[in-house]
Amino acid sequence: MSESEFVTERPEAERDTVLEVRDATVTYDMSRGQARVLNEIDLDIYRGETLGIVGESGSGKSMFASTLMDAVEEPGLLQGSITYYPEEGDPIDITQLEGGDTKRLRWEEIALVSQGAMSAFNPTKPIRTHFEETLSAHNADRDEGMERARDIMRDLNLDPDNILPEYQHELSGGQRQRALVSLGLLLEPEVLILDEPTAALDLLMQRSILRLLYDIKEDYDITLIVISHDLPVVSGFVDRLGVMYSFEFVELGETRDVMHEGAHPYTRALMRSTPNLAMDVDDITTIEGSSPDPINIPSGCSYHPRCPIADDRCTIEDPELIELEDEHDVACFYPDRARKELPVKLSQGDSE
Amino acid sequence: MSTTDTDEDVIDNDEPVLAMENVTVEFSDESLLVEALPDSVVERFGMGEEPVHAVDDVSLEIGEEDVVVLIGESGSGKSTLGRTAIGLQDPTSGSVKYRGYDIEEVEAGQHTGEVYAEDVRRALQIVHQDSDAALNPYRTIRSQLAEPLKLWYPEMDLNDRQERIATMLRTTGVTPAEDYMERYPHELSGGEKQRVAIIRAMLLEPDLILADEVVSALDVSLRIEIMDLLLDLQEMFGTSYLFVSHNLTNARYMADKADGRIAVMYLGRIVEVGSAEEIINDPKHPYTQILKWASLPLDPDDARKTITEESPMMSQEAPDPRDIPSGCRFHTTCPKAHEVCTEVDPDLIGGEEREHRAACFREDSTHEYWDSESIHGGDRDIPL
Repeated sequence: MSESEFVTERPEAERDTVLEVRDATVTYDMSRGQARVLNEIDLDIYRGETLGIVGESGSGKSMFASTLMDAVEEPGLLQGSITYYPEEGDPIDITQLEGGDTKRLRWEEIALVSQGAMSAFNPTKPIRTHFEETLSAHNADRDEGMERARDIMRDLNLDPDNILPEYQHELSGGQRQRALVSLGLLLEPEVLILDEPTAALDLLMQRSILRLLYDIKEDYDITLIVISHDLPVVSGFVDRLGVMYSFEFVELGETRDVMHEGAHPYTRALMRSTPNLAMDVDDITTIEGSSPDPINIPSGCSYHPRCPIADDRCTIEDPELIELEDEHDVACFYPDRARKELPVKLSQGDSE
Repeated sequence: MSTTDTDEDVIDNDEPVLAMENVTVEFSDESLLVEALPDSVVERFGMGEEPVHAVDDVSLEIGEEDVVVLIGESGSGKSTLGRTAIGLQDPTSGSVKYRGYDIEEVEAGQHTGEVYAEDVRRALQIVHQDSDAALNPYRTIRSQLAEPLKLWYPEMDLNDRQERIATMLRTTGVTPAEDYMERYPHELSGGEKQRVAIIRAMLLEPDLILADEVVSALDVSLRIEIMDLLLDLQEMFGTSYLFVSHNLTNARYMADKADGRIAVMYLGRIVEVGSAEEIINDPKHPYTQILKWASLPLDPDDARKTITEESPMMSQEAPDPRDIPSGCRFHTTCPKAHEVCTEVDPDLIGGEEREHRAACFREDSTHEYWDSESIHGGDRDIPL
């Protein structure tokens, strides 16, 4: 009897859903063939939660962020539905919105602070102008909006009088990143997506930004989605963690469950490949092989060519993301074997 | 491998591969007006900008098949020190010696007959953080790898060169080698490009490679792969590395695996140096302790604790390298700073060149530090 027969269908989410992703697929037609850069994603994002998304470069995590705002760039084709549930009012299918409505939704309801903070401000305009233009583009009251901007900046440990007149090159990396987060929060969105919020920052600045974001999450009524390739950046921060591999989620659950009881071989390999101070250096190992080409995704479970416990079944049959334990989903036929045969020791004195 | 012997040791002596003695590097950023005026006028009116002390009185030795990891934040001087070590930057004062020969003197032709500038340049190589900038986008991998061989080993023929490149690609796991040789950089992944950049430096069989943030721009899961490659190559070729990083977890992996040392830099100074084990498990300098504290653990509960607990740093902004604090330069941030730290600049204490040393008075149990008043109304703990 296979292990998967013990698991049951996922029950309808009882929590208050803010974004409902159903069967979301993004494809690009290329000369070499069709590239599938997001593969049939089903996911509920709950109001007020912090959701972390981790995976290697090219696993589809930034594409997933674009999808949530219907911002997939041409000629990419997004199929499926993304439903946004405002706190009041009717649900909106984001993929059906046109022009101005999409624009309104993109900053006022769902905002994205993108990776590469270097490129996000226009270098020829002072920081203040970015705030003012965002307010006027959304017909918001300028004085009220700028007052709010100043409050947000102060919450992020920035002095608005110093920052607003500056150009981006006059700011340090940490200041620029915080100014961008302030801009993302300006129109009081329901959902804020942070793509690599601490990339290219020094160690001490990284911690200090995470601390400020943690306070934002506590003080503002907001749903936060944090995307990173660097597991420790999200693991201490988010309530729920999704692991992406090959353009889909392979594991999803409460952060502690995914980290302490990770059931997908990839999740476990990712943890072991992350340089850290607690593990014995000989236990830190690289993941053999490379991540799949979106034009040529392996048959069956797309992780099988790199998976140490894969068997024939994994080469033919594609495992679904199904609930293994309460609120902990995994896409693997052999979660128990993964846990037993692929040990991970997260900290010294960890008995696992 | 090839028939051409490329591994002739130019100098055979017992001197360390590289020795830096009291190296100081200053940059001055003067406006054209200031440059045009006579010094006396500039001084009289206080117009000259204070030079930036990027590196201040640093001594460090790198031995045969050695690894030294320089760790520090932006502005710590780690990259400047690295560039000075391999002769890309002249020290303002102090000396950098390659196997006992002062690099500047060799460049000036003072050791003609014994060692030449070309020998030193070949022996000291660099791999950059940004492999995109390091590789020419319009040329195949083969042509880019052949170039340094043509330059340094003009007697090597085409077949030997091809064979040597192919062998190197195979040994480093870039296979099929023949296929990769014909590719352009855009046809490679970030990790593969970094491999090619490392191979290019290694083809010359240098004695020392400055690896400047070579894994910082890579995915976390690729970092171990590239560091393992460096370690394998060290085993094959006996190369030494000066590995520059801003990340303590990478520093620890590299130094621990290679049995090397970590040197922690702060505002132009080495404030602590020791083995990976010593620096990670027994950090002495409050700055090293704070770096360890801020390194996010993998365990989510521990990571949350690190994120949410109160920072032990007394100041969140790093001081301006143009305006270095008096005394111990860390005293404005240090939770354990006493009055004496604002006046006296501590040297590395704790032993000889290869021993665990820290530039902190707390290492000297009889120092007047212990009778001096805390500048924060009491020492604060650094949670570790």
